[in-house]
Amino acid sequence: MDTQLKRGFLDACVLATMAHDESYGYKIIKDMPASLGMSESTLYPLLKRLESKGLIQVRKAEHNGRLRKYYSLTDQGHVFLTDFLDGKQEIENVISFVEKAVREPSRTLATNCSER
Amino acid sequence: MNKEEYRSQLATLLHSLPEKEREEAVAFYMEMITDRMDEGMSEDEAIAAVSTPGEAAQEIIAQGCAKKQPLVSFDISVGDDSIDDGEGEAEVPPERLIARLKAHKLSALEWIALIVTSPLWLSLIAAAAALGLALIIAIFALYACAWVVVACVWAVGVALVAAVPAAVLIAVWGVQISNIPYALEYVGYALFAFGSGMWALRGALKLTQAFYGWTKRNVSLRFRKDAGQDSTLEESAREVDERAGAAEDASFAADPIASPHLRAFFRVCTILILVGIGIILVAFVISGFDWRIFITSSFGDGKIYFGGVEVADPGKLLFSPFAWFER
Repeated sequence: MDTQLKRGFLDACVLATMAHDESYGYKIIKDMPASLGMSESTLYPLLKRLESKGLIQVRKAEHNGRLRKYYSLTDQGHVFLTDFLDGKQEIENVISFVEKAVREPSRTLATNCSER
Repeated sequence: MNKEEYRSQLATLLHSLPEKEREEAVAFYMEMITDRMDEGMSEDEAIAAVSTPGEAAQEIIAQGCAKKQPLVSFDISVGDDSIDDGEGEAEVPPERLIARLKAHKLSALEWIALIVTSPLWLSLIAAAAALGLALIIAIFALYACAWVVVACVWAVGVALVAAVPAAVLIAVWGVQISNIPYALEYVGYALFAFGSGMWALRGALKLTQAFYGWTKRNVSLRFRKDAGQDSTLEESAREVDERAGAAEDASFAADPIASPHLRAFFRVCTILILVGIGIILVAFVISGFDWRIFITSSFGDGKIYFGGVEVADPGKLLFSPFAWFER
């Protein structure tokens, strides 16, 4: 998949893992669909980016006698997810257009050829 | 590899980052390993499951690079470089390059050609080096000039504000010798000096912040201390390269007089400048357009004149410096 497109989808997936409750690094990795192949080295910069965009907030809390970072959605993060879902129809339209164009033999092309 | 080794390897790979960023990244990976171990994995399994330090560092630095890189960067290495040959570093030390060149033996003919043409290539190298040096000096000089300008603006501001009490004192002397236009003129000077001095100080502060911010964002000065053989102990002693986080940029852009009180204060300063000039003009008018009110001097006859009026007894003036001379 195109990296730019994939990045947008990955952002949405990571945000979705904390849609209802805050989450932490390892849990996010476990919650992500395996097919997306999310690793720590991808997750860390991604979380930093989401944080700097103001989509998530971070807090440190004690867990088993050590500090763990918990990530949760900001209002902006919720808005991002809603917008993403609103774009569902748009994405489907694009995919079905590409699908049609690729699978069906083009009539205009065919007529042009027969005229020559 | 155990957890501590993982930590030190990652920290070493990230040595070019500011300390805070590095610690944050290392803590993230440590948390991932510990969380897996808490779930029942062994230390080895947990470390095998997370990304390798190399992958981790690459992604972290790649993202850092996408931000802004400093324009100029000086790496000043302190310590012995020759010791750290050995287990595969990414960069090739210059000694090895030279060794490789040496291994590529030159024939006698090539040596002769090299020596015969030496006046040509030696002078070319010298010219290039001189040009480079001149450029570096010019850039440094320009940069120093910018700071000198900033320092001058500070000096002007301080001098103007310091002139205020002096002007007030002279105004009092004007009253003492009953030269009212002269006294008024100095009241005008005092107001003008205060208002313009404050503006100059504000300008100096803004200039300083702007230059400092520019320097911080575009020049990285890094002193590296190589701790002998133990390359993991290599540390950055001082980092001016803070990578200009978004928050920092915002603070540079901020106007130092953003608060409404300060803004009101500077509006008053502007008014003081105008009022000061007005008062000086008024003083000139009521003196009957007598240019002498602008002169404070002795006319060579041993007497002192303030604005054209002779000071009969200079020793009697308020805080008189002349009393001190007469003693």
